[in-house]
Amino acid sequence: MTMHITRNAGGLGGVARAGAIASPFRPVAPLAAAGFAGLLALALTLLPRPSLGAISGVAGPTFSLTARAGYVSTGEGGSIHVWGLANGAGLMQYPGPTLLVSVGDVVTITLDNELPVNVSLVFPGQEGVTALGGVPGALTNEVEPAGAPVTYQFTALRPGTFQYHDGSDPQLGIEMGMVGALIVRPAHAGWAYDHADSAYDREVLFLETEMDPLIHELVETQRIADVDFTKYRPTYWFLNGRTAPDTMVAAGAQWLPAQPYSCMPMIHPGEKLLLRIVPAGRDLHPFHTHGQHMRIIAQDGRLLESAPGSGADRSFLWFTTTVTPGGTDDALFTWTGDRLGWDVYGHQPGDPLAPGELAADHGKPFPVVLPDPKDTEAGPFYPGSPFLGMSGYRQPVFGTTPNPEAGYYFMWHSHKEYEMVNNDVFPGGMMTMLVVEHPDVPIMEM
Amino acid sequence: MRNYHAATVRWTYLASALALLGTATACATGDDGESQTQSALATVTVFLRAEAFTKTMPDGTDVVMWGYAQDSAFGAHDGVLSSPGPVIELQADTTRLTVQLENNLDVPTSLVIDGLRQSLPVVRYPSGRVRSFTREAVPGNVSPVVYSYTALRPGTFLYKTGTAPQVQVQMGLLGAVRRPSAAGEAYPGRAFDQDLLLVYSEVDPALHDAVATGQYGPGLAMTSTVRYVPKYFLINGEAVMSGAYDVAPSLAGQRLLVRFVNGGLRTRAPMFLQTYALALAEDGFAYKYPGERYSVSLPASKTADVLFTVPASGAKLLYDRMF
Repeated sequence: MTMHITRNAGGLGGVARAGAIASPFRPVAPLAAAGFAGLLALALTLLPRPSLGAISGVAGPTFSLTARAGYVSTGEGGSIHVWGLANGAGLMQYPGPTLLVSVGDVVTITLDNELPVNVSLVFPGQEGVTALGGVPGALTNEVEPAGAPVTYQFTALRPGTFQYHDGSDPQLGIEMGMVGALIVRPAHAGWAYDHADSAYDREVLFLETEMDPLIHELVETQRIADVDFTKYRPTYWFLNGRTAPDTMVAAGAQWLPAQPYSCMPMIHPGEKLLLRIVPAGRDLHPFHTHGQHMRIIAQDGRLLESAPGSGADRSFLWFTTTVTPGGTDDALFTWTGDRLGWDVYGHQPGDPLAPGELAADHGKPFPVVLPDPKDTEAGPFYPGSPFLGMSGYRQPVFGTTPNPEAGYYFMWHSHKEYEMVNNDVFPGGMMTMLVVEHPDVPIMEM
Repeated sequence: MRNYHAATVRWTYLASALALLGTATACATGDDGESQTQSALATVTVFLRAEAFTKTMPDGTDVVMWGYAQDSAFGAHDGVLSSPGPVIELQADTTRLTVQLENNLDVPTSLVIDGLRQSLPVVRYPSGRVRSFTREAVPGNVSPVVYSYTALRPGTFLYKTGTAPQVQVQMGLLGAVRRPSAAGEAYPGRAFDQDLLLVYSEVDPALHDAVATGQYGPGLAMTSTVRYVPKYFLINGEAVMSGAYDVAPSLAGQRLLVRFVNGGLRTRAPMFLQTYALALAEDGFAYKYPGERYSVSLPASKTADVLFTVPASGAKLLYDRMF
């Protein structure tokens, strides 16, 4: 894991925060009995400050994956037996490695199998996929238990967001965890597709899955024959293989060895965030952004253009995005405080504009009389100022806040509200936070 | 399943017979003859019979289904019962569809076609609640109940019972209607070589048993379909053990139009491997700007039409991602 500061305008606390970066991880504390705010606060204290912002994965174009059993942790303290995919001889991970390749690459994936069932991989959206070795299966060649590996190969013809998953028994294999994302990057850096309409400043993966732990128990205890999908009832929901609040813990956290990917977007006002939405389970998840709508620019790895080269002229705004399982959507999200009607920086009318600031609201006063400092207390998100980065107003608060930079937190979550739990324990599940940081607060990509 | 492939599909298109009749009538009536001939040429009449039958599932279980047969005439009883019922085939020049319904069930039933304009005189229970979206055929009706459709357009449509649909559709009273924009053309400018219709449906044997044994209804063992839990998932009436559907390898290189119809309650997600398809239409409405997709979102009662050239890589192209 490498960290680098992508933007450091100095100013507000840029140097002071370097100390926090040096030791980003702290031991996890017991979560029992913690309330909603407490849980989120705890998750946030675990964050390297500032952090996140890129998509972790394994660079290609040649990959070696091993289907292997292991365990994932859930936010309420649970542990579930899963079948994941290891990067080569590494630990089993969930989801499988995010495969990062470039357009034109000849992508080669060799699959080994340590599971008690046949496994295989399919790559929807890729054409001319060949499978060498193994035995013929329902959708492609399969690797038998401890059998000879299968090598899949294709040329990544077009850029885009894709997924891969088990093709031998997709119903069980997907449920058990054999899913992953594939990202094909175009020649133009900073674009998702071959057009400027797909330009972005930061990107984040939203790989959505769900689990019915009873099925996993049956598999763990060698009772696969008793699995009955007509009784399928998921009680865990994941983003990038983690349930909330773990979604907001740093990528690669030591105490989540099988779940290396985080899912917590951080942006500065005005930046374009690319959401790569990959519904990799078997259920529909209406994914909802707070703060602003998202613009859907691509579906199934194809820019929404009306004619070749026309750009994303068929793009549209959604605030609840339900993508067909197996498909993918790409969306762009930008936050400026548009429509708030007041200056989030607390500027006076004559002050200079901040980077990315919405000019229309510049210098407009905060419409609420701020309370007396004696009547306030720091919360998990309220650091003593309503203004972004405390740039315009600050008052002393009691206690410490995990949000000392005074970023704005917007909950992004499944609009099936019952999916925001971990086995009936709220909060959890398919939920994370978008953090909008003051332009002076550096955001790290890791 | 045979009923659903373009090459072997059975359908009754009475145009030629009616054209002869129309010509004869024209001779007799003189000045209005030509318009009568055109009208007759463009009419399709289908005789459907609703009746129970037994379907043996792949695990050997016998399930009582309700389905439709297509007879050569009302009361002829020479058609074969199936669920989904026979495909109603319209031609590009068809301007009028008439369905004559015979009801051999022991409850009233009716017929509606989703997405086609039709007269819908509702039938109510004495309490005022709606029982049927349209006129009913009583059990054992001695003369046909006739449903007519004149606002026809190109597309793929779902037909089904309009009476107590929460039970009767689940029992199997559903089928598909298709109409091209021209011979070999799905929608204007979208030519195809082969037309593959895939109707998805599902069966909860508990409901079928309860209905067949008179245990469905108020105060009986099964009072509603609230707890409907399908156990069998069907494509073109055959229960499938996985969501996969093999496209005939002989179709390689051909432009295949796939018409997806979901007659069940669960959302299906047909997905292509090795290829993209041009998403042409939903609910029989063509997109202004068709886009390339490899996934199809197929919620309950949805129809979706896609077009693609079958790649040489063979049959393993299509499966259900939400199976």
